[in-house]
Amino acid sequence: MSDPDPVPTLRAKARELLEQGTVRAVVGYQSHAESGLPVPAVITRPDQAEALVFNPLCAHNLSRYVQGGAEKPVAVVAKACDTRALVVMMQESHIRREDVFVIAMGCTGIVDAARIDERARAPWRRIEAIRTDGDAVAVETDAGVARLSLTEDLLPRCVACPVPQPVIDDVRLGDFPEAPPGRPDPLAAQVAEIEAMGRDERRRFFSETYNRCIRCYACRNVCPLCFCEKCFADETRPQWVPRSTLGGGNELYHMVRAMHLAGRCIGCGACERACPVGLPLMAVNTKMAQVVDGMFGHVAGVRMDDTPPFAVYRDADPDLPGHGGGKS
Amino acid sequence: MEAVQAQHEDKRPKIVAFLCNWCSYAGADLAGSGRMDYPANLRVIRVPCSGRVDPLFVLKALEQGADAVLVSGCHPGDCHYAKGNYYARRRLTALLELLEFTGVPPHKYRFEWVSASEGKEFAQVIREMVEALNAAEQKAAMAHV
Ligand code: SF4
Ligand code: SF4
Ligand code: FES
Repeated sequence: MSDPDPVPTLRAKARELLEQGTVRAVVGYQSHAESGLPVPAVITRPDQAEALVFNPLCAHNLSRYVQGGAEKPVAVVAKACDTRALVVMMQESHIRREDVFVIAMGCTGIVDAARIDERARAPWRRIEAIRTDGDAVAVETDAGVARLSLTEDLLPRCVACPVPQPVIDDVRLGDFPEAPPGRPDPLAAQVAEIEAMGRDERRRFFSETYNRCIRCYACRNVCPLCFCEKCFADETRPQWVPRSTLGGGNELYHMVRAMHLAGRCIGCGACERACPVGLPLMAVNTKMAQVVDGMFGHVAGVRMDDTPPFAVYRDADPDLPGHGGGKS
Repeated sequence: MEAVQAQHEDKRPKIVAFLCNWCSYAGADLAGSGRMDYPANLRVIRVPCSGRVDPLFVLKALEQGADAVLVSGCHPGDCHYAKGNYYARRRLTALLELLEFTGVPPHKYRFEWVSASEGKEFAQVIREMVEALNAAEQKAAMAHV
């Protein structure tokens, strides 16, 4: 059943869920009042459903907004990949399956909003409409139409989309690709490029990267899986990470962040997009995902009945170097 | 922590060692009481089990100026709490990959299994670590002439 424009169905579904009191809120996307770019929306009244949108600029992973523990679930508009975050949250008992009503949206890739500037003929101020048009997205702005390619202008994480089908859903709207697009993964290529450097060069690369961090914690705050109530970076007794970057601590923050997200990061790229100083945060995220897959055969959030990889072990796990396993 | 730092300021390179109480700490003890010859560069932090060692401890010690960090626990199968070191092993092998990927020099960290009877092996690990640190320091000094 093909449904090329699922937005009317999405609005009807949201309205119905709120009218019948099935959910306490719907988390979705709306158009930003000034720019017209999609931004998160949390609606609680049926009449607000008309504001919901969905299009190939809906980059945010809205599972960041899902909280459990209430009597009624919250409905969340989720791309297939976004559902992986919900699954990890469930595996770690952060939320229960019944805490969320998943409105899974068919998606063939999200385009990079930064490309609108490049593809528009003139400086634009406002987006009037966003239409999918073959293998392009026509972004109609006040300064003419910018056509963004659904292959050339994709977010890096969408190029080789590994999970085009939702892992969990309560309703599916739109068309879902059957299989990954089979394009080479630019994120894996970035890891390979870093690995090809010498060790000293890698050290320089990461020191220079982390030196530029202003420790705004946007990367943490936007991450659907950084849901600890008390982050180690906020702890004061003991204070692992100094409050000010002048006291150091950038590298410690980033290394521990990498460890805390290893085997949990679903690669949504939200952290890197949120970073105001343009740090390549996906390099370490992608690397650690490869490590956990390679060593423990675990991919984050792709199967409901998986156990978090650091909460289990096998006798046959790789051993330390020099102990009949691992690298030395 | 600062008092300890001041007291031992002279002894460089400085190795911070997280040793599990039941095997590696006893192994280190044996190395000491057996008067085995190994460098006195260690600052030992005794932990109940290698499973108690959060990667954060290792990274924080390095950040605070430890020249190297050693984590050592009972051999797989021998943990006093049966499986603490199996969990530790997953974390430590993953941490090794992160340290390697981000280009942290290998002489800055070592993760080992040392039993209570392996005093000799413990002394050997420390000797190797100090040698590697000295070699790295010499190389760095050469690079500056
Ligand atoms: S978002 Fe960027 S600048 Fe802010 S803490 Fe994360 S890495 Fe640092
Ligand atoms: S670490 Fe970044 S890419 Fe991974 S889940 Fe969090 S926000 Fe997404
Ligand atoms: S008690 Fe030694 S590793 Fe657990």
